Amino acid sequence: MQLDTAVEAPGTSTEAEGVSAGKAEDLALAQACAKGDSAVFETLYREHGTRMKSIAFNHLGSRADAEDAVQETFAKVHRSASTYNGTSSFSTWLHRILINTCYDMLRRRQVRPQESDLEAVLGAPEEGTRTSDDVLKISLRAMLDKLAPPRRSVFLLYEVEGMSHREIAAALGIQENYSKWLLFMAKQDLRKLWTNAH
Amino acid sequence: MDERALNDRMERAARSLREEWESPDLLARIHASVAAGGTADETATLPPFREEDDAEFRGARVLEFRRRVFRVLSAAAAVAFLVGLGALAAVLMGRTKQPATYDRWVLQEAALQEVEKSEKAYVESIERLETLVEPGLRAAHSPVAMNYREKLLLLDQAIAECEAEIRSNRRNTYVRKQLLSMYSEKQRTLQQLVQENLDVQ
Repeated sequence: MQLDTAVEAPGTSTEAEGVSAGKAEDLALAQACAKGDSAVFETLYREHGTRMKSIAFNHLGSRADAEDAVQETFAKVHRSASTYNGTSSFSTWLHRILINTCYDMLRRRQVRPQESDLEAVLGAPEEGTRTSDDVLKISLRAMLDKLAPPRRSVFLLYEVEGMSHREIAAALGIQENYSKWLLFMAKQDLRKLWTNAH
Repeated sequence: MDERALNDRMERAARSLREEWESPDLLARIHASVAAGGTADETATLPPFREEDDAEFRGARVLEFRRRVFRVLSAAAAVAFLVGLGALAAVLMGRTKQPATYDRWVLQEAALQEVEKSEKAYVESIERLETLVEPGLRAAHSPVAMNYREKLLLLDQAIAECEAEIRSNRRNTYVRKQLLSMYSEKQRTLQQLVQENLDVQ
């Protein structure tokens, strides 16, 4: 199998390559994952690892948990790759498993990290040296914890990770208009929380 | 802070929430997990949440559907209202035009009556002249008298034709003008005969 081509396909395929070619490459990639090809996992990690860690961190609130989620996601990819049918792109499928894993971990844990944990992660600048943007960043994290999980997920994927509504809808298995509505409601909730806090 | 400014600040802050850090041992852990294998988890690839479970979204959709229906009905009502308004305006304009038409008709009628009055005056004048001229003219046998008789006969025929035409359409201005000019000509001819009465005989 031509690994490089197969791994690049989900993220870099152009319109000229065609949908069917992309799908075939994604299916080949899934087959390689099912076989446990370590080179494929390494390439997937290099390609998507940074964003996956960021998504997991913003859902779970700690780097250690985020790394655990990414590790668990790749293990699930290996175990479920044989069920991949190419309906969505492989990277979309990968992100769905990651977000499911984050939700599972949250359910298991039941408790979100406190703001102090997040401040520690942010580096906790000394009092008086924080800029208004730092304050807003910390406030935003705290406010995001108060949002309903679907709203928080869509806000994080759209505003933090820069994904489009189409990509979010595919990754979460929802309609595009639902994704837009969730973002709208998330922003509305955040504005209310901000207004109440100030 | 207004809504837009707050949105801008939140979006800017959100972009800064993206976290990147080095995880030197994570790839090794991934390889170990993959190598450990395990059974497939069917729930792993299911959507993490469903819109059907979101009561607020369902409510919003129902509300949006109602809003759309209301918009369509409002648009239809507006169109119907405009059509009705147009029809009403057309009717009212028709009514306002009617007095103008009526006024024009009254004016025409007044002018016509003036013409008829003038014709009547001609006819009376002609009848008076004829009573003066006719006995002498009937008795005269000179060529001049015969020419006058012939001219009057022709004028009478033409006048009769015009009068017949006017009886079918009293507003025919062209025929009325012809009639007036023939009345005038007959009056002038009879006046000449009155003046030349002796000579004709």
